[in-house]
Amino acid sequence: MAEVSLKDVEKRYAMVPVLSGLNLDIADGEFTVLVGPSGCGKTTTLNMIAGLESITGGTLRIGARDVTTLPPKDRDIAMVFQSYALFPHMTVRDNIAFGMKIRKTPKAEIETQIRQVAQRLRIDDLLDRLPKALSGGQRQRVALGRALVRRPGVFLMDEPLSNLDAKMRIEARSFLTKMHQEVGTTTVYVTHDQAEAMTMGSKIVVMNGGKIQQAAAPLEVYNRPANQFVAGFIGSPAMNFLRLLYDGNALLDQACRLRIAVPECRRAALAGQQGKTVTLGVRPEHFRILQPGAIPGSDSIAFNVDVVQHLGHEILLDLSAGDHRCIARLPPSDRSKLGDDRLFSIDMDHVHYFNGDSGENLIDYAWQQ
Amino acid sequence: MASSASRFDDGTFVGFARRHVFVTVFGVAVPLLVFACFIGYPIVYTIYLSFFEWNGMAPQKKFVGFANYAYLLHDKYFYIALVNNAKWLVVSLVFPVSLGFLIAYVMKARLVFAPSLLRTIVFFPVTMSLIAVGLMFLLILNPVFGAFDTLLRSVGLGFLVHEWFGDYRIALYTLAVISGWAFTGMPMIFYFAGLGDVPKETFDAARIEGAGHWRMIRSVALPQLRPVTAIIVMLTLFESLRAFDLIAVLTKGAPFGMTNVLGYLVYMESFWNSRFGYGAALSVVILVIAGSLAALLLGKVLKGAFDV
Repeated sequence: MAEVSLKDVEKRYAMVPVLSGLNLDIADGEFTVLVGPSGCGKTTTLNMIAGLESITGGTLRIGARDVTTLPPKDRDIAMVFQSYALFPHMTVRDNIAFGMKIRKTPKAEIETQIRQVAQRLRIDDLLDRLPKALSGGQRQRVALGRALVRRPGVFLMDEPLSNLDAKMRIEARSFLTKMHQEVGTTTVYVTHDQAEAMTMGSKIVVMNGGKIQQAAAPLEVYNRPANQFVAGFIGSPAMNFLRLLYDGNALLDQACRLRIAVPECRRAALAGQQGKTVTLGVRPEHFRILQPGAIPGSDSIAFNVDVVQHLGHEILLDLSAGDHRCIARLPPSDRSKLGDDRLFSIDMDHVHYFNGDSGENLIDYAWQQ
Repeated sequence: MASSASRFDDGTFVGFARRHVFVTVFGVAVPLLVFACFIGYPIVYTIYLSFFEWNGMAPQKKFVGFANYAYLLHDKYFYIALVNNAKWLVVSLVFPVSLGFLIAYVMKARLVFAPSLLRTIVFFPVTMSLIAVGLMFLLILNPVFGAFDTLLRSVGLGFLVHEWFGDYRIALYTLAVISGWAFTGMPMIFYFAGLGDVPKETFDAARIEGAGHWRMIRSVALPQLRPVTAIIVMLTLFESLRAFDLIAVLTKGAPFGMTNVLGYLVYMESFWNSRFGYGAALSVVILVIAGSLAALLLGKVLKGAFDV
């Protein structure tokens, strides 16, 4: 096992920087998930850790060694690819044994290790099959087996669940998490699926535009997003954003006669924003529907119900108030209908305030702690 | 409309043809006619001619049954040509195919500077006429003023200077290597395209496991390129059986028939010795050999190559 450390890592393609100033420390045994939209640089970062992409600036350390310029085989890593990258002409056994044969491991030792890994991954009855005769989930386990027999210091996984169907993905998610708990190897996992990131990672690194936006524990990222991008990316349905004018006491939208009072305890954080636009971030679960006839409070908004989505265990309402669009998550007992005008209150203890220009979260959570 | 469509919709070819007249005429009938005229008829006529003795001029052909085939079995020039074809095939499989693959691999792995330029240079001879290639090498390998021998002498390798087309021990190989030079671009371009289809992740996975280039070629690239190899081997086989142009330009079968191959033997017997019947019998044998080898390759050696 080993820790991974990226210091001021850069990647340029013909003088065009795609990643710059990456600083990230991954502790020994940690399950770190790199998450972000397509093109944010997460796979490039993983490939740089693997040595499949050169690092054009900065240093990369794995364990105590500087591996910035070392070839992949000398980095003490193993990788599971999105497409699994199994050799199609080799049986499962040969796929798993491939690296060991190159490293000239004795035959008896190879066979023992294959048996152990195959039993652990429940693929011992598939050893003589070709990859084309396996299901997606089985292929994924074989790829994992090939990585496991290396006994690497760091596991690198590039969207290994993206080729599985929804049901299989949930099973594989639990399987990988359990596997990590058993093996305890440092793991860097890339995904664009924020649900995977939240459920699997002990640390989430949210990336966008070639930069790390936030690196923290999953609930920390969810409850205390560093900026509007992170807030919008993590969580499903995404956080609702209302761009409003701050008058020193409340957030306003004159056009649709909307006024939300800012609690006293938050006003200090918003002190410099008076007269400016502030983006109010509200998660769908922080809307509460008020009974018809309820008196509007300082934290309530009247919305029109545009769409009703029954999911069985909950209801999602698409709402609109003037130009503002929101999604609210309500209990299944709610009886709202399409076209209803309903009054909603906002749980102001859990809302977020973002700078209207930069998107930075205006609340200093570090200070609060 | 519906009734007219259903009237012919009886599931037979006639029904299909009546419903799809355009497809039937231009998609099936015309190509079949062209095939019948330019491929089918010559094959059938060659087989027919192989049972006759005919000098190509006389108004009458003399039916001789299997006499041409019986003669062929005892014709030492046929066997020399057959063995020469086999040697030509081996050289063609080893030299241009291996070299073409290696060039494609080093370009794909970006182990060379300016891979596009290299690709163009290697492919250029493929676009040249073999007659022009032959004339060019006739000058380059001329024993008196040829550039190649001059180069060998100038770098102190004069002992390697040979009569490249005159020495019966090496003349055939000289021709096969020249043919290979002209042909290398073809397997190179096939392999280059094929390597583009091999998933990059399989190479990456092999690199992480510690595979070097030799291991990647042997264990990752070539096994996944079996369909491409199958096509290239077939093409090389047919090309080597069709070898004619270079021999006609450079050696005309000399010295002592040692550079004769089946294709040139057919030409010699038919047009120089005026034995069209025997030439046709030789052609039929070439057809049978090509068909048998193709069937053997596809059925045994390259079995499953297209299943990957």
